Amino acid sequence: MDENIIQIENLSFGFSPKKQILKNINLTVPKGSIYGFIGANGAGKSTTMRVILGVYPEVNHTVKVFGEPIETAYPETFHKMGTLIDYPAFYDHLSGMDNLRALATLRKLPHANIDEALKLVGMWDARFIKMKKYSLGMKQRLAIAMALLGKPQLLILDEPVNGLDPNGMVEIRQLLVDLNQKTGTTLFISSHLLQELEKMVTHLAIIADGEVKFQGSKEELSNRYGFDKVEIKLKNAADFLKYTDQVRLIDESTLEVGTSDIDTIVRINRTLVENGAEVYRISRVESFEKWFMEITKKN
Amino acid sequence: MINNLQIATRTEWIKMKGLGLIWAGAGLALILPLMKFSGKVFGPRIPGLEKTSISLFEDALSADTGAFAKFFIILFIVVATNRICQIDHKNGGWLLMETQPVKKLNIYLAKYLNIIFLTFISIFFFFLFTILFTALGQWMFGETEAKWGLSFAWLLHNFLKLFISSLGISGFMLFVSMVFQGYIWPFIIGILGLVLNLVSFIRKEFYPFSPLHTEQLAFSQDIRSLNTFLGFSETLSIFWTISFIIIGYLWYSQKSFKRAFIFDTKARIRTALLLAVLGGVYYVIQKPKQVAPLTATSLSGKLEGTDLPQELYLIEPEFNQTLATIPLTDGEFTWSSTDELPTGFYKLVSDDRSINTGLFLGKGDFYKFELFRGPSGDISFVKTNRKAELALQNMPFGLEVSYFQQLFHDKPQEYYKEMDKAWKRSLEKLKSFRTAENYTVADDFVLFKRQDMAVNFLKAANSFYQANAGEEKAYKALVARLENELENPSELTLANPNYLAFKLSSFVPYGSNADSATLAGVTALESGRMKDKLLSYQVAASMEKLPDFQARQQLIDQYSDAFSDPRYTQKLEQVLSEQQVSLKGMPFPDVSFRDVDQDSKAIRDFKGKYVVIELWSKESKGSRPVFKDMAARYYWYRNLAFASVNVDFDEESWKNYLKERKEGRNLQEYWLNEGAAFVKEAKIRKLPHYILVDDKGLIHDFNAPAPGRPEFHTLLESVL
Repeated sequence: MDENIIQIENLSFGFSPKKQILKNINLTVPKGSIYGFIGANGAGKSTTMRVILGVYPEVNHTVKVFGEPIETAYPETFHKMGTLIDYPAFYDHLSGMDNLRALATLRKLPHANIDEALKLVGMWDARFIKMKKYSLGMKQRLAIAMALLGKPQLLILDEPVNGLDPNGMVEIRQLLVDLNQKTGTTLFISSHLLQELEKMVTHLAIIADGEVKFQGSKEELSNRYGFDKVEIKLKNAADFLKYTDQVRLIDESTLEVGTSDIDTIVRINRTLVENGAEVYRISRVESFEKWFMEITKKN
Repeated sequence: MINNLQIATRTEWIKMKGLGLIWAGAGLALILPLMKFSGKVFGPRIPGLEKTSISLFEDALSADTGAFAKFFIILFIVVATNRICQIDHKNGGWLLMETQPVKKLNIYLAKYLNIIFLTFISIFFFFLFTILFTALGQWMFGETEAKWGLSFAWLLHNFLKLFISSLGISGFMLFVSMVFQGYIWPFIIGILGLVLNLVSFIRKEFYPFSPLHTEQLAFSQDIRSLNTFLGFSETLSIFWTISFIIIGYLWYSQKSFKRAFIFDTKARIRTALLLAVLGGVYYVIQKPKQVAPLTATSLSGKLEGTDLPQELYLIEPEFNQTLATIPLTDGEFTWSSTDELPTGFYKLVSDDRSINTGLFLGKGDFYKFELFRGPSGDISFVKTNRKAELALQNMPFGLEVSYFQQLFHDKPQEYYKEMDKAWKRSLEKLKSFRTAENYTVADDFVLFKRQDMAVNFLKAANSFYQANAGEEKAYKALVARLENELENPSELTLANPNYLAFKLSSFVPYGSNADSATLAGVTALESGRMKDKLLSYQVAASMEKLPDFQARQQLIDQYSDAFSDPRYTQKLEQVLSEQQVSLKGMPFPDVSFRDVDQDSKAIRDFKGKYVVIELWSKESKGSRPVFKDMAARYYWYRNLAFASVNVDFDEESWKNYLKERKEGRNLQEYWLNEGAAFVKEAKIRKLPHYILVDDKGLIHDFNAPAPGRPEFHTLLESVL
């Protein structure tokens, strides 16, 4: 994993010099990774992805894909890439098959790729139906098929499970993970659905207000933020705040300790219990949700 | 590059699937041929209207290609470009395409290529449908023998012209449809272009600045008359194509005018250079051109049809003398001369009919004719360097001044102000005049037209001044300016009857019409060309008012010594001999009519009867039913006969006409061999024409009133 498929160094971007949408972004997407790009709506995810894809002009040589600056990489490098940006783009007067046929022609791909992609996303039976009659989930699946069509080395997917039902989400997530594991395809996926990414990514970056707040492997994130906090579940949590100043109140049944030191935790627990607290669980704060909330809240 | 463009074009073609654009192209191409065919199926049958035809298909295509080019194909391009761009405007189509391994230039060009391919298909369908429905119409309803042939070269020429002239329209509409995301704006812009074309048609002007105007320019005349295979409209179309592909692509590559054209210094320099180059090229292309005269004057051409003449005569305008006799070999003729040739309106005629009577010709000019003879006259086409002059000759300039007198009858001040404006407007129009081929008028003709206009303005101003006193200063200022225009009349102006009549009117007080006073005034002038021209014009005019041959001859004799050039006397003698044919008391020309049974009949065969003769042709039948009624009404007058004489070229066609119409039972119907020549010699200007011949075979009234008019009965009652 020493080769980086996407490399962004000090990218700043805005439609006018006065208002910067992206501020000094640095990102490194290693080859073979599943890279989660997380941010709330309006944080700058789609803009970053569009800059990476050359849709928005970036002329300062800050973005490289496959080791080549995007100014010269495109359009040839798109042969190695599959994309799904924002709302799935398609021609709704055409059938699913014809949409794929148009792209296969453009990419000089054999017809077999179309069949394969359709079957892969479970759209084989609906291939002759015009896309305007598709449900949102069907459109999303076909959009993924369009991205997969050229058997890309890099897949850039913006909110790929939007509009899918829970089963569909699981299916697509499994499909993408399989793809990554079997073919080594690098995935760069954005989402605001943190739970979805949490279960599949190997690396991630968190963006808020046009700035990258964190980027690195999942382990790095856990190491940096995960052990620092412990959650104590008890009844009437507020009543026990007076016995120690090392906790803070999260809600009526939760207190948080800002350390991972075992002795400190044991001491605090003893103090609480001695004062009549009914502690029923002590656990480490570890979910993406928490991390995400934490990181974006700070700023 | 080409391979990638091909792939992009194929992709765009797949994307168009289901939009119904081929059907739309075919549907629009079907409208005109189907309408014409429906007219044949459901419309009234008018038998016997056999017209001169070049070819069944060429006639049909010539009639409709203009309408298809000027309206239907433009409409199709507007709809097709809009539709093609809409599929990418919605549902993120652009984003999808731009994240594929294809260059933006290829996407843009691929769209353009598909649009012009669709246009090509639509044009192809139009030609196909027209040919098929014409053939079907002829097969089902054809009443006369048709000419089935079709010149492939002509067809190809039409096709190419139509197609190439559409390229710029496609380029422009693609640009507009890309820039405006919604459906409505490109559509409105397209419709505005069509409206501008309509305005140009009504105002008889050309607007090369409108990219949607090229088809209008291309089909403003029959392509057989074009001087060059491809010309102004095609050059302009290719210019618009290149311009809008460059501008459109630059815009599309950045999706913003600001980023594409003015974002940074580089973009600004590029924009400035682009504007300078395109502006310069446009200026050169649209600048009207004069065709430089050659060293030799030449006339050539080809006549097709039956009964062709052996030779043609070039008649000079001053003395009506034959300048050259041009032999025809297999219908073709050619004549050229390096001799000096005074510029003027010459005539090219054969023994039986005119080829062209308004041949504006000077040294170094060329005319190339293509003429098809048929039952209802000739169809002729002419290529010449004098296109603009011929077109301008028929343009009414400064026509509005004739209404000013009524409009401003109580406001002299406004009248002179408006006259002044109208004069300036007319000069401006004259200066900017151009033909659809972008030819402008040569200087000699501009001066002639300018002086002719000055005469008309002076006549109008004088007439107004006489009727409405006041504003003398304004009047004099206007007159002084107009007279200044006429200070040095050009040779062409000296030959202009309008100028001569105006000049002569200055010899007598305004409004009076005393020929003798005018003649006296002219005679008193100093000898010279001016005097000769004025005098010959006046003598000829005075002659027409004299009742008989002797009086007219006397008038010529009286003034023959006043001419410095004796050829003017000869000219007047010639005029008189031509008038002779129609003078009262002169014998009716010794011509024989033929009836449907091929029996000949001359006027003397009517044996002591007055004869009302109606001369008619199928093109101008006029009041034939009324004439028939009159024949029935006067049936019991034993000393009166009615003869309806057809002067068409083809006797068989005349017979068919009578047969189909079941006419000729109550009327004496005749056909006159070489009737057109008779009509021409007798100086009959309009058909049908009525002549009353007396019981001795002498002309009683060569210009008898039309039957049905009260004067007709008065005339008959005076002799019966």
